[in-house]
Amino acid sequence: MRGKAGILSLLMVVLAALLSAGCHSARPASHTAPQIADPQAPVWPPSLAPEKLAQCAQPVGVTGGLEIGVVVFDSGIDNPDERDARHKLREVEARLVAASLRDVLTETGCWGPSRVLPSRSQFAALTLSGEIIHSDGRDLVVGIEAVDASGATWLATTLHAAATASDYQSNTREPFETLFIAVANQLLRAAASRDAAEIRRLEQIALLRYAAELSPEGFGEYLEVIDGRTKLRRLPADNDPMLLRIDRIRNQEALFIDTVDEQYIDLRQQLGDTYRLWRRSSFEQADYLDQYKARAARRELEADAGSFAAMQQVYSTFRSVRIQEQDLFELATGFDNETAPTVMKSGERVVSLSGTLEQQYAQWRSILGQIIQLERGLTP
Amino acid sequence: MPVRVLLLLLFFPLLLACQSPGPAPARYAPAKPVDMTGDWEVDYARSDNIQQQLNIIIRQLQQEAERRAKAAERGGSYPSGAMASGRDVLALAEMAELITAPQLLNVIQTENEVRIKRENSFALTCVVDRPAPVITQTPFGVEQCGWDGHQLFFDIDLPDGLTIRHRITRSALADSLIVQTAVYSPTVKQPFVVNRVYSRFDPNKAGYRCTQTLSKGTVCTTEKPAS
Repeated sequence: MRGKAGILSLLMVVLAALLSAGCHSARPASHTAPQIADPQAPVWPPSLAPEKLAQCAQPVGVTGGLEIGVVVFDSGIDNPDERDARHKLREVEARLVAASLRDVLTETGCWGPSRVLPSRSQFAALTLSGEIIHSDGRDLVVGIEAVDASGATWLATTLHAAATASDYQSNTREPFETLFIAVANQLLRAAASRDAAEIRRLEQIALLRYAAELSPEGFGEYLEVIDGRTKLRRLPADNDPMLLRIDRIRNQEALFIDTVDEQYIDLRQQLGDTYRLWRRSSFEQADYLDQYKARAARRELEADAGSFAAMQQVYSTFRSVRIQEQDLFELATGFDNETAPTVMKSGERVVSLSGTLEQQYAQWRSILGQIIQLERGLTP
Repeated sequence: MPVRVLLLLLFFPLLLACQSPGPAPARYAPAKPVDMTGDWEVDYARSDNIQQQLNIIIRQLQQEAERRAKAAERGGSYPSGAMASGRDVLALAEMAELITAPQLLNVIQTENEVRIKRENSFALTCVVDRPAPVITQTPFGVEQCGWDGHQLFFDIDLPDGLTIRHRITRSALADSLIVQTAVYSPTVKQPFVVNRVYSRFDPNKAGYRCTQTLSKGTVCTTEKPAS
């Protein structure tokens, strides 16, 4: 009897405490406690340890080196809204990350020309593509894949680099260079594990795949796909006039990509400082949130909750991220609006391309396809 | 009565009472967008004076402290629902001052979006082509915005229980914007509310114009903009 009464009085105390603590509020009507997104979900691989960039005295594989295309990364955002600053910035970042990777690959001296491609194409013998899984100035997580012209995968991995405060002390150092170096080194190791003859064949397959993409009727017969891998069935003669045309057109595409590449360089020059400031403030925000969670776990928040110092720190961190985010958003939007029309010459024909770089690239490829058809005597 | 039944009886009302913290979620009036486009500068004469508001609150706190002391002297108890400490109210007022510091606003408005650029602060932006509230979840918390009738609102919930609510109204004559900002902290029961009135102005008529730059902060020039 006494036991039950004891339980009852205990329950009453618990009930009263819960009611007074949990149900008394003068908060705004729709207020909910801020939900701190868990940046660790889903699980990322451990962050990469710094390593030295492997360099080559001469390019691997073929004379002049294997051509590499680095496709602008996937932003990792489904249905991006151009008006949303965070979506827009992720798209800008997707271009900048591709450009940084291209730079590191070029620096190795192990490869032929490395170019940033506005979208996927059969242009290069080895194509790198990737997706930004997470980026907050402190952690950069990307999924990356390198597939050669035959369809063989050289690299398919998820990499995670973590920046520290010291990485932001220099105004020139790339805070996530560890990641780009890791990709370059892994790619070189993948090349070393391949047969030299196989690498040499890639250039031929790349050219014929490119030709078949533009003119399937004319060049499809030279290739066959077995178990998902493209193989050479036979080669056209070295002096095949159509192949010479294709080669010429491919060179023109290279010229186009180089022209577009200039715009990526412009993008980095125009946005570089602001991008860096934004990443640094995002880094500070991520750091603040971690400290906040640690303090919450130690139940230290209540001690200085409501103090000016605590609130000011929250607000200043938030404001700083927002200001940098909006500056970068305006610059990025301005850059897109100013993307210069590209004027290209193909034979006697001068073509002016407009729109985003991706749109220009699509227009250009369509024109090349028409030229091939015309030269083969078909109606485009 | 079995303990299990008692437990149910005790906790059922508790669950009902605690399902939603505070009043029911806000309901918004159908959007009646008002054009707020333009440049606006703060009119201090028509705006709240934070120092005055603070003095009033401090006086109330002092009076309450005196009443408490007297009640204690008489051996009585003072009703609960105590007011916050002076330190916390002061902190909230300082925060309100910091948040409402921008003197100039530049509003860019389309059918789809409203962007309120604020001098030396971040812009308040809202995609308004969908019903309110438009909720954005960020690593830092939750932001909500939208039209509530003819008023534009921005609610920002940040860590540590800091909540900022802006409500923006344009005057009928379209010559003023009233920005009401309520700042909430977890230790003060009532929000600190500041009303700032902004008057329309033409930045080109000032004889100079200022822009925010990354390297030099605010840079002003007397040169006329290229038309």
